[in-house]
Amino acid sequence: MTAWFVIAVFVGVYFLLATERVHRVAAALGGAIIVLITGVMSTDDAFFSRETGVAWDVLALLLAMMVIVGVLRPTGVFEYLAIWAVKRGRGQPYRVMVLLLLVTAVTSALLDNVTTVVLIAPVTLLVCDRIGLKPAPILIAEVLASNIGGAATLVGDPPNIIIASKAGLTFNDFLVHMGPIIVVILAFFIFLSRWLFRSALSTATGTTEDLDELDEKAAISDPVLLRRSLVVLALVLIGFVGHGVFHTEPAVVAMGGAALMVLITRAGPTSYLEAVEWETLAFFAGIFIVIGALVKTGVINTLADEVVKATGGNVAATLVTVLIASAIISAFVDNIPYVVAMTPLVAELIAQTPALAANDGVWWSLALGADLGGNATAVGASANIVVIGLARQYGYPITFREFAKYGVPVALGSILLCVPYVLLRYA
Amino acid sequence: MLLRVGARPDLDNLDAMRARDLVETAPTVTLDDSVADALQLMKGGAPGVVVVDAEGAAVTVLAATQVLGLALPGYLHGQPGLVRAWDEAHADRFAATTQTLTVGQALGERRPPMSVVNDDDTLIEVAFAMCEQHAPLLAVVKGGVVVGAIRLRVLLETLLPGDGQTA
Repeated sequence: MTAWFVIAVFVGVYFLLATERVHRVAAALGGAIIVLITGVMSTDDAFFSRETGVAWDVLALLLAMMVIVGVLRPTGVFEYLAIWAVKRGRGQPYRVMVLLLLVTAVTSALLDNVTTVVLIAPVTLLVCDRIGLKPAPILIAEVLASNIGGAATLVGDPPNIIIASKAGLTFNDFLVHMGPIIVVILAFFIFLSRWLFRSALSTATGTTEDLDELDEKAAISDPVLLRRSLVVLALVLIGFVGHGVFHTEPAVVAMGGAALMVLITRAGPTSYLEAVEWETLAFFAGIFIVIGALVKTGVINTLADEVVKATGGNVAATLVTVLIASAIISAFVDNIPYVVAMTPLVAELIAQTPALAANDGVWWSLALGADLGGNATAVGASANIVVIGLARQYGYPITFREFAKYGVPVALGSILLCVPYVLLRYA
Repeated sequence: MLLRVGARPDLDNLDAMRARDLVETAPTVTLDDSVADALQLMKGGAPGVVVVDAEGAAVTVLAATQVLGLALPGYLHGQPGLVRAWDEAHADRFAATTQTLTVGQALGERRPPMSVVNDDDTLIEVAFAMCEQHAPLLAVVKGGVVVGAIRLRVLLETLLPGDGQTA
């Protein structure tokens, strides 16, 4: 009975998230409060348990990366990079777009996708204004690139951070296992974009001079802070990559980086804390508790049993099922609560099917499906929703249909490329 | 726009003065007016404008600097790095589109909340509202309906009559 009650709470929370009838923080915290007040979860379960409670390392890593961005952003470095890149396009629309996509994808591998698209959107609009491109398709292309690029690293996409925490995967694990396929998918996307965005690219009227006159160096407001920040960022990356040597968890590395950033900036807490998305952190905390209730009441165990029965414990079937199911579900609902729910289920799958433990393949299938499936629709990823909002705000509304026109082929192509990858490498 | 002409201040009765005593005709533009028209009002010395819709209902109140902001491309707002990167050749021409751009288009979804006071607010409440909302022009409402506006200059003239002495 308790299990059914918790399932009802979970379904209710997911319904509220999907329909946006209430703010997502209210939905997540509301669900958490319900399972706490009704005694399904104790405070120990919710706040001190590795299996059922809030993943504090995930929250710490997210918070720290937000502070790092909060210090780095006012230096103008992102505007510098984007303008520097588009000037290399020499006013040719496709080249300019490709350069923007590459900047977006690489930035997204280091920062979260939402931050990346928020940073790149104004520059994109400026460029489109100058050379006469329609902004909406270019913004869509960038968010697709952001979701692809963000899948490459542990810190590039929140689902990856969650999976890494649960599975004990390192930054280098993501580079080695996700990096190669993401590079292939990005190349596929850039190749496809020439045809996919051909109508948008044909409207360009501008010339090289319209972009050459922009002065990217002037975008830098504080060269001293920028240099110091880049040193700190490099140290953070070294810390991530050097996990095997330093034996320091990514959250600790990121927090150290954030502390250094705060030390070197002259800006007060109001400035860098403004970049912290407190509602995102509160949302995560609530979702962890709701999913923890599913774990505690055995719902996850039961689901894992059913999956094992359905796949017969076959590794290949499990990998492909997790990949495709994750992609389809992530296309329509927020992939964060989905991944939070799936990580204990995948852990249980591995416990029941020892063959799956051989090479972490099922974790990579989950990451690829959840990260890339979100490209299919306007609601599939937080970055998509943010870009839709920005585009509307600036007077270039994007419909669900228009987004899907570009997103579905990209998502489909990406997942089709992932299938042989996971089978060849992990089955 | 409704007109209310305020009475000249009676220094002995400043304590009794309310917002309604300082109300004047508000400079207005409609959502369909061009940004250039709104800027012309600013050139004439208006501290701001009340933006009204086709039915004459107030939509928002914009200070002069906010009207100037309508001339800037929307994507530059909050982007000091991009503004610094903007080249000289285009910098002098950024206002060229204001002739064809309407106030409604420029505002888009970024309509600031209306800077208002109630008609029975005291002078200190009016002053506080101007400071807190950074608004040199406040719309005055009575029963939810805008009945006029108060300019910063009028408030100061009331608080600091001709000889510069405070009341």
